[in-house]
Amino acid sequence: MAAAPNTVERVQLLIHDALSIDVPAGDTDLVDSGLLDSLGLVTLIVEIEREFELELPLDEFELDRFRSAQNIAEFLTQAYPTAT
Amino acid sequence: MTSRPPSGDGASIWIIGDRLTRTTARRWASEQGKSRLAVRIASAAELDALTRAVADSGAWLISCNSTAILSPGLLDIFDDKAINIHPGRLPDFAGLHAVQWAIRLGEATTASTAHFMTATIDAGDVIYDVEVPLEREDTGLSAWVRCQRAQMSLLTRILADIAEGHEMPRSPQDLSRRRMFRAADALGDDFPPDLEALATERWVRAANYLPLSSPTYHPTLRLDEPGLVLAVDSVVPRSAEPGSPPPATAALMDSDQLVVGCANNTAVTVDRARLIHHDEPLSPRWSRVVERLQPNR
Repeated sequence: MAAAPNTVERVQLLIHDALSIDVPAGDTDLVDSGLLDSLGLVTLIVEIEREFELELPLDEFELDRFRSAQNIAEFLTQAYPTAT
Repeated sequence: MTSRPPSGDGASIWIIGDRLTRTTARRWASEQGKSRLAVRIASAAELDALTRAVADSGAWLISCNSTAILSPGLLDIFDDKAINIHPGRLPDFAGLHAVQWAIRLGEATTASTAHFMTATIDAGDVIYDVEVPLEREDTGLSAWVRCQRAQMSLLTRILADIAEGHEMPRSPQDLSRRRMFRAADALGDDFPPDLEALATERWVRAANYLPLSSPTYHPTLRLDEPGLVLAVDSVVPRSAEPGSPPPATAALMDSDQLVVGCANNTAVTVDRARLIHHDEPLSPRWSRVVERLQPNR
């Protein structure tokens, strides 16, 4: 299920506000580009939970879900359709 | 006992901590609109330099996930208005890496704890604590996130208390139960030979921060034959059986299970591990074993 454009923008804004990272595009790879480090990932997890009022599962962290704003938005859309 | 924050105009709340702490505090401040309290972000070094500036302002200091040790002079300046938000239950998990230690010691719960700061680390009166349940499958990373959630809820609660001039509760710690963990207590990547199987499983799980890297030790197996090094992410306790290897050594059993011996004739099976190094091309059997142990199999 593709994420709605406004969900991608919402995630991009969240990344900007929480991590002070300007994401040039929804598909910018945050990991390979070095924009997202380990502390940043934990910050992002807690901030996503706050913004979308949900609790992410902690039993299996898949880095690919957090690789880009697009990936995050798609994961949230699939797993939490009512939250997005 | 309670502590009443000042309610006059112009008081500041100084924040030192990690990125999540700073982000949470900034957002809280922006949501307050015309709050009379200014939230300011600083490093511990900057705060020392600003000692004189904050001395007369009745300012508060909140530290959360900062590893900086504040000078006694700085704590004197803040005069009972310095608060730390610690990712562990106090008094029994004071010091560093409290989240990992709660897993290693088999705790069913830990806590995030807000307390007044004193010259002794994590020993001041407790203001609030939030219980953090630890599940059987929790890794170092998942438990860390649970504690961070609780810490941020404490941070916003403390900020609101200060802003609204609420009295804060304070309960002295029973320091006879105090346990203090230091960086040196969490060193060493080789399997500890003195741990039994259950404790070994917890030791490995506490260092599992996948997909991130552990901030402390990294459980590692070095096998002279066939000359390979594995980073171990998960093990499972197994029944004792004849032929298990001695403590802290590994052997490939007939069933192709990689087994590590533990104390008191117990053992664990390696469930997930990543290949770090091998000297020679691996045999087909070892290649199959290493492939099967990869985390994303």
